[in-house]
Amino acid sequence: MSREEIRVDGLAEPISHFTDAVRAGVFLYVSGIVAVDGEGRLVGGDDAVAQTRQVFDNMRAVLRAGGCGFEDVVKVTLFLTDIDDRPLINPVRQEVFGDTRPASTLVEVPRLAVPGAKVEIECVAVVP
Amino acid sequence: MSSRTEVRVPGRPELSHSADAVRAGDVVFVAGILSVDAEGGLVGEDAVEQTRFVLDELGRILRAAGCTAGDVVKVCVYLTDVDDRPRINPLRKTFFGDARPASTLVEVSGLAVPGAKVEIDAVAVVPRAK
Repeated sequence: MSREEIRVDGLAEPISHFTDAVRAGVFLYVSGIVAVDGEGRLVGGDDAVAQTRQVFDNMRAVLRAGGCGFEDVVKVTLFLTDIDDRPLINPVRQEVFGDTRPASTLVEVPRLAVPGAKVEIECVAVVP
Repeated sequence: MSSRTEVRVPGRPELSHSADAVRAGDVVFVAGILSVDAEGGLVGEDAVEQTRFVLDELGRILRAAGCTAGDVVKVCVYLTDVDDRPRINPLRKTFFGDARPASTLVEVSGLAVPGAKVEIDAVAVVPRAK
């Protein structure tokens, strides 16, 4: 099975030993994404909704680079630093995914790798 | 191969924008399962009771997707108290039997439903028809 690492122009350099996504066969494994701009600066302040929008903007770019869109996502895992943000960001998820419903896991974690980050989202997609 | 089919199981709660599982080709991605009933109410007080319910639900979802416990290749267990790990382990043994999936287990600071102590998601592979 083929294995192709994907780095997206315009997205921040990965902060550890990883790449933006890896495609293996028909599957695209997307790394955990936080709300940072191309220079790695946090976007959205302490607003979980604004951060989530930035995360999905970044995710859209990664999915596109891997030949996918949100409608191809099969699994999504969300890590929140405040579980009470869940209902706040749900409308963003509905807006982004529309009629598509990926299998989803959501948990609260004490901290994320980027200071101030309140949400990290990873996903798996199937290349159409 | 790259078909994408969302799996919904009757009696499952609707907590967020999620399917119970998504099947893509021969691979089934099962959403994180909490010990909650169809109305989203918590089932079970302690981690053992909750895990029993979660694994029952996992079994139902796997069956709906054409799999059984023995077809699971990866499982992720999220506990709000990592000390519950040895207490729920016997249930995992019973559920998986001779099969040993790749497994990750971590403690998290909270789950979507207050009082929930365990969430489990999984990846399985649909067996080829013989």
